[in-house]
Formats: sequence, structure tokens, C-alpha cells
Amino acid sequence: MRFGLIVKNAHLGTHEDLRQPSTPGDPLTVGKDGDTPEVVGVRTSKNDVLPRNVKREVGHFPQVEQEINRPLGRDGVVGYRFEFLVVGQRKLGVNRDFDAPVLMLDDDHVTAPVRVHGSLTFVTGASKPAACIKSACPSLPSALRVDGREAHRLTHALGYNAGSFFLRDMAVPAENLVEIKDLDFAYDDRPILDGISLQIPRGKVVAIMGGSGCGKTTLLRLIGGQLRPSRGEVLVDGLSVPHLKDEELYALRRRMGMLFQFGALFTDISVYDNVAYQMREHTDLPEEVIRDMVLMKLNAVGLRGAHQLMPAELSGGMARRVALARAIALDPMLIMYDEPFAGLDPISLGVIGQLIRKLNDALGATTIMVTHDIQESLLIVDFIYFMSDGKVVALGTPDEIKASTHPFVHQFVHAEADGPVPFHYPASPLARDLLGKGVHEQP
Amino acid sequence: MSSPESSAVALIARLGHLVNGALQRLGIASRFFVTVLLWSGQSFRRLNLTIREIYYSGFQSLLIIMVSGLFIGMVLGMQGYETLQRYGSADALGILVALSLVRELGPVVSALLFASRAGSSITAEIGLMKATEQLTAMDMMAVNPVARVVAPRFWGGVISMPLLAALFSATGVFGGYLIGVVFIGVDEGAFWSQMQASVDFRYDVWSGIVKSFVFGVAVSLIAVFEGYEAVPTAEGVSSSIKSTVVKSALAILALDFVLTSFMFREAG
Repeated sequence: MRFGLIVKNAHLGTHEDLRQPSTPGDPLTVGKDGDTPEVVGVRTSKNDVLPRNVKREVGHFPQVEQEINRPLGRDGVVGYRFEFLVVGQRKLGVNRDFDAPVLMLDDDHVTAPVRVHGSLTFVTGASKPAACIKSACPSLPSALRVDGREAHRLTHALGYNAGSFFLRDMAVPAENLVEIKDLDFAYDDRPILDGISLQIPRGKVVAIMGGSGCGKTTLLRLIGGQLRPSRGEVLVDGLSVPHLKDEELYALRRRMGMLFQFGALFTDISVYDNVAYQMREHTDLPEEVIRDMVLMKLNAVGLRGAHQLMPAELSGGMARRVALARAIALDPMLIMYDEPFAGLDPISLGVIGQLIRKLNDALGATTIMVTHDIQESLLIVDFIYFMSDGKVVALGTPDEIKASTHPFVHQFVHAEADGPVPFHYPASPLARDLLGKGVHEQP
Repeated sequence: MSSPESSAVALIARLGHLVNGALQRLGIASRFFVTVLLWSGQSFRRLNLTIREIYYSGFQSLLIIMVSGLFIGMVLGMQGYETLQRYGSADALGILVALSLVRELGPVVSALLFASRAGSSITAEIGLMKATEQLTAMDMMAVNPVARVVAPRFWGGVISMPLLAALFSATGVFGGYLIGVVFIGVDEGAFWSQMQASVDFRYDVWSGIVKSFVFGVAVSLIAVFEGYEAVPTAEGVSSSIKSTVVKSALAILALDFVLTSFMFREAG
């Protein structure tokens, strides 16, 4: 999701001025002394989950002069310093009636925070304004009005006391982005999940681990609304996933990204088109803007140079990285990974692991990762749940897990062949089988 | 050893199970058909999606359709002449070739060819997309795979089929002309004038168009359904492709019988 601040009462200079890269470290100034710039709206692409009043507010300001966009920074990290690429005169999808220059922040030029002269008034929050506002507008306004769910995250990111500037419509979101309560699920008569409960805190990278067939992937599919539980509750951002209507579920999924075990790239289109897919489906951004966004996403995963390749031309690790770029195409609030490390060489594995961590922090997202790879997970996650037989059998931070004496955790961490997860599939006694009794003849 | 009675019961049970399964499958297919229709809006709003499928299913089937049409027309020319000249009616060759093609062979054979050429590839494509989780990925991206993948392919097939049948008939008539008039020497004037006089647009051409449209719906539906419902394994996809060809062929022939009965009754 591209995010932009729409500012009025400030000047950006000419188109050519804006093309000149600033000196590194030198703040790029938006507005001149004496201006009283006002952020009148937050622009996001079409269909974003945006409070209704925002669109209305934007519509009320046809004379808007500037728009600042926040893409990913270098290596996919939105740091506290931004780099700017001035794109010049462009009309973005939402603002068709908007002829002013558009300023986009990018990672190829200068690193500098934006200094905004005068006071600012935020009309709303957007999907991820926090990191942007903190870095883009260090001289934050005293009067800040923020809507709903973003307020909580925003205040924390800004280091403000939450109560000091919540002026209206404050609804502090739950601390957990995902909550699973007493969940049962079965394929036909085969139970998979048995009364499982867990919480995924906002902003964290959480791993769900367990042996094959213990229901980890099923759990991801339940969170994504692809399966419906037979009992229990799945809450994502306060919404009960099993009870959502189709349109509501799709609206929620636009805020989720998922990386499938083998990438699930669309094989008949190029890497570039794969990453652009969601942008084209869900936004009406011009192709040139999509191009910039796609290249930035690919740059974040180190594959900008591979944008013309077809999926069949990629190695397993590269395909996984492209799938990762596609999963974050719209800057999701929740990223789910299904076995992200499966079948990767050690270098690719390390790269993917680091990307998962960095992208989560950069996007201010929350990550759920289903994996077997305990060693890599211990390096990058904040919290781990261990599942067995459809239940959570152990949980803890990486340090707690390393120190755990729980038999299941111990077996898993030390890759022991036998333990609570038995080496042998249940069978009749060996002696009985060898004596020819109880052995099923193969057809 | 089981008694004859228990064998009979087992046989009946098995039969019942098969019928039950088939009916259940038919129910699922019907529901799927309704879903495809409900999600067809995008196929027409974003016409390029459907046009792309018309290119892949229709345009790329042109060669096989036209070559087959030409050969079938030539065979009709030879066989028709051989029979008609016994009764001194060789001049009626044009009627025989045109009516056979427009009423029956055009829609039926082109639909059979379409099922094997385009239907099987649609099933394979959708089945493989399912097996490689591309459909699931699309669904997770809040893009409905029925609207984005299935419906355009369905409508691409439905639109292509009557056009292909018409081209099949046209090349077939040309094949008949080539053999009958150019090589055998049937009178050219009689060939064309008798054809013109006897082929009725309402009963012959229109019925052919209706047939090919119905076959187009049937073949395209079977192809997308088999692909969408394929077991997501190599074996499952292969079995679905086989199923598409077999079921399409049976559906075409059965529907042809039903439609012909109605049309014949109307004409009579």
C-alpha cells in the first residue's frame, strides 16, 4: 500500500527543481518559511481500508498542492531516514482532479527527513502512517487528529503520550492482531485442530512450529478465511474471520499478504507482472507509478535486476523472494509465511530469514511464520508457538525456548529422532509382524 | 466365500454408490455453473481478459478446425457423389455437402475437435494452477479466481465455438466443391444454386448455430469445471484432462441427439 500525505498551503518548487537530488543529510524542505502547510488527507490507493471521512476530506480539497508518498526504503527497510526521488508532475489515481506536483520518497537519492514549516493537522490515519510520519515529519504538529485503529500504533511510534492528542473517534485497537480462541477444525472425520488458542501480538514476528501434519498450515488457512472452523473464533484485527461476508473477507485479505511454500507465482507472467498483479487488480494507479512501486518492492528483496525474467527462469530461493515481494505489494498489516525456508540452500535461507524480519519492521506489519526450521527461526522471531496434535504444547521467546526443558521443545530444538514425537508410526509389535501376523498384504 | 445374495447386494450397493456419486458431481457442476455466471461480470467489464481467451481457445484452434473441415468436406464430396450418381442426382451434391455440414458435422465435429484441442488445455491450465497453489494465492490476494481465471475462459470458449463451427462448415463446403466440381466435374452452377435454394437459414443454419453455441457452453463448462475441481496432483490433473475429453465428447453427442430431435420436430 502506497501511502501519501496530502498537504496544502505549501510550495514545492518547480518540476525541474524537484528532480535535483538533495545533498545527503540535508533535510528536504516542504514549504517555505511563512507557509503554513496543512496535511489535509492521507492518500492511499483505491480500495484501501480507509475511514470514509478521508475520501470525503480529500474530495473537499481539490486545490491540494503536494503529496508525499512513502514507499519502502533501501533494502526494504523504512528507517528513520528517508531518501527522496522526485518524480515530478503526476496525477495519481485517487486524485484525478489534482494537478500539483507529486513528491515521492524513494531510496535512490538523498537521505533526509522532511521538514515541514508551520503546523500540520492530520485528518486521519492510514494503514501505516506511523513510521512515515515519524521520519517524514519530525517536527510533529501539536494538534493531531487521528481516526480509529491507527491511533494506537501511531502514538507509540511517535513516542507521544497516547491520551494527549486523541481528539476524536478514538478506538484503541486490541494489542493482538490475531486471536484464536478455542478453535476446532476437522477434515471430514479427521480432527486437525483441537481447541487451540493463541494470540499474535501486533508488530511481532511469531513462528508456529511443529511436526508435519500437526495443523500449522491449516491454522494459516483458517486465519486467511480459506477454511471455516467447526468451533471457536478467529479474530483478525478485531474481525471474526469465519463470520465475514465474501466482500468483507476480501477487504480483509487486501490487508494480508501470504507467502506460499513454493511461491505460487503465476507462471504465465513475468516477475514484474507478478509483483504488479495486486496493484493492478486493486488500485487504479497509473502504470508508471506501479512501475516505480514494483521496482522498489523487487529492490527490497534484491531482485530488481530480475524483473523481466519468467518464474520458470528463477531458482527456488529467487522464486521465494519474488513471492515475498508480491506478498508485500500492498504493504499488508499481516504477512503469513507457509514454510518459507523449505528446500532452500543455506544462503537463500539466511536471506529469506533476514528479509522476513526486516520487512516486518519496515512495514510495521505483523508476521506469522509456519516453519520447521528451528535454528533460523530462533534468530529472527519474537515468539514461538509449538504445536502437536492440533494443540499448542509449548510457547515462549527464543531465549525461553532455548532454555526450555519441555520434552517436545527439547526434541525439536535438538532434532532428536525419538521423543514425544515418536520415530515409529503406530504399529503392532515388531515380533508379531515378523512372524507374519497382522501384516497387511500389499495389493 | 461370499454367497450369491451378498454379491448381488454388494453389486447393487456399488451401483447405488456410483449413481449417487454421479448425481452429486452433477449437482456440484450445476452449482459451479451458476457461480461462473454470477462472477461473469468481470469477463465483460474487462473485455481484454475474455479476448485473450478467445485468442488462445479460438484463434489457436483455427488451423486444426479448418484443415479438418476441408478434409471432411472433401470426403463428403467423394462419398456423396458416389451415392448420388447411382440415382442420377449428382447435381444435388451441393445440397448434401452443405446440409450435412451446417446441420450436423460442422457443429459436432468442430465441438469434438475444440474439446480435445482447447478444452483439454483449459483443464490442464486451471488444474496446474490449482496444483501449484496459484488459485489459492489469487484468492488470498482478494482476487476471485472464478471471476479472474474461470469465467473468462468459459466465455472465451462459448464465443469461439459457434465461430469455429461456422468456419468448419465453410471450409467443408469448399472441400466438397473442390472434389465435386473441380476434380469430378459436377456442374458448378447446379452445385451452388441447389445449395442456395435448399439450405434454409431458419432451420439449417440457425439450428447449426444454436447447436454449436450449446456445445460451446457444455465443452467450456466441462473444461473449466474439471480443471477447477482437479485433484491437485500430477495424476489428478492428468485424470481431469482425460475426463474433459471423454465427458465433452459424450455430452456433445447426447446433446446433439436431444437438440436434433427438437429441431427435427419443429421443422417437421
